[in-house]
Amino acid sequence: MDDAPPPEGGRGPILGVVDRIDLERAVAELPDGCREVFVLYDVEGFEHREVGAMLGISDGTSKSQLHKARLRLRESLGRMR
Amino acid sequence: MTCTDVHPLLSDYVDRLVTPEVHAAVAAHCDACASCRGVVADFERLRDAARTLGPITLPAHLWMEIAGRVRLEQQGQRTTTPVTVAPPVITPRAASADRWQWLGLAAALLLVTAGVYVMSQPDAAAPATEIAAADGNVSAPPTVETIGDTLLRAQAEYELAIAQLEDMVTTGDPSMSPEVVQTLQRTVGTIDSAIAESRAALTENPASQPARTSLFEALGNKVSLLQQTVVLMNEMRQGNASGAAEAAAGAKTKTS
Repeated sequence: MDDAPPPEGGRGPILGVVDRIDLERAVAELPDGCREVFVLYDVEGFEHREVGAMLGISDGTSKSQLHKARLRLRESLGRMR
Repeated sequence: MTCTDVHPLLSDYVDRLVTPEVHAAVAAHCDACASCRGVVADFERLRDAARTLGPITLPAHLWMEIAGRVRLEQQGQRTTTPVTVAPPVITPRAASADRWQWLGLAAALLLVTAGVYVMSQPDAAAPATEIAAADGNVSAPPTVETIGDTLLRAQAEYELAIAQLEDMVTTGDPSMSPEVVQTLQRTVGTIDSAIAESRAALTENPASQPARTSLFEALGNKVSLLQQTVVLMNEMRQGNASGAAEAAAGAKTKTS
């Protein structure tokens, strides 16, 4: 999946109300690394420092994995609409 | 700033983890860029939707790894000088002060589960001589002493987890309602009776496989209840009432 920045002046929001079931399905399809970070940070509410300690990665890696996860979820949920 | 500059910052921007200067620069860019503004809006929707999800079960191997890391972290905290960490600009979610304690409890429960699993295997508590005779090789079969040690360690972890849990439930977690505490205590009491009966039977006849099976079934039930309780406490702490209700229902179901 393309994690590159969107083109200048491109599309706006692509998500409406996020359906819970769709989100769970999309999360399940994420690659292991970014799924773990997404679940621990966005779902469970841990901080990057804590996620990093739990997974043995740096805070920066936790942040970049979260960013990647959100981009992938945005794309996959956008396709489901 | 261009989209290429801004794009990698958008997740941190949404979580308000960037400096005020960067925040202002990204905000200015987004005012003029529908594309990046759209990403921000979608990230916010995703984040908000994610918070409504109940606990998602991570793969067992990951939780085991987490348990190990938490243990190491706790050991490190006991033996090294605390490091001062600069506070984040804004805490993304209501962070609980005893989160590491919660994780420690989860780790302890995992170890208990593993210990109970090991000890519940059919050959786990068989006399060493039987194992050696059946095996017919010299590859260091478990001795009675090591089996006893393993059992004692599992029991010690088990008792420690229970003590930590009871402490958190009764004194450390004001979000736990008295009704829930009473239900848990009543259920734990029922399971404890079953454990005591099984232990008595095993003491009377140490070689009894049914007594051993019964004991570890009861221990397994208690571990399941404690695991559900941990989930419940986490839900209550995060203010997820529906998730807490589901967890409480699950805890009751496990023991009914």
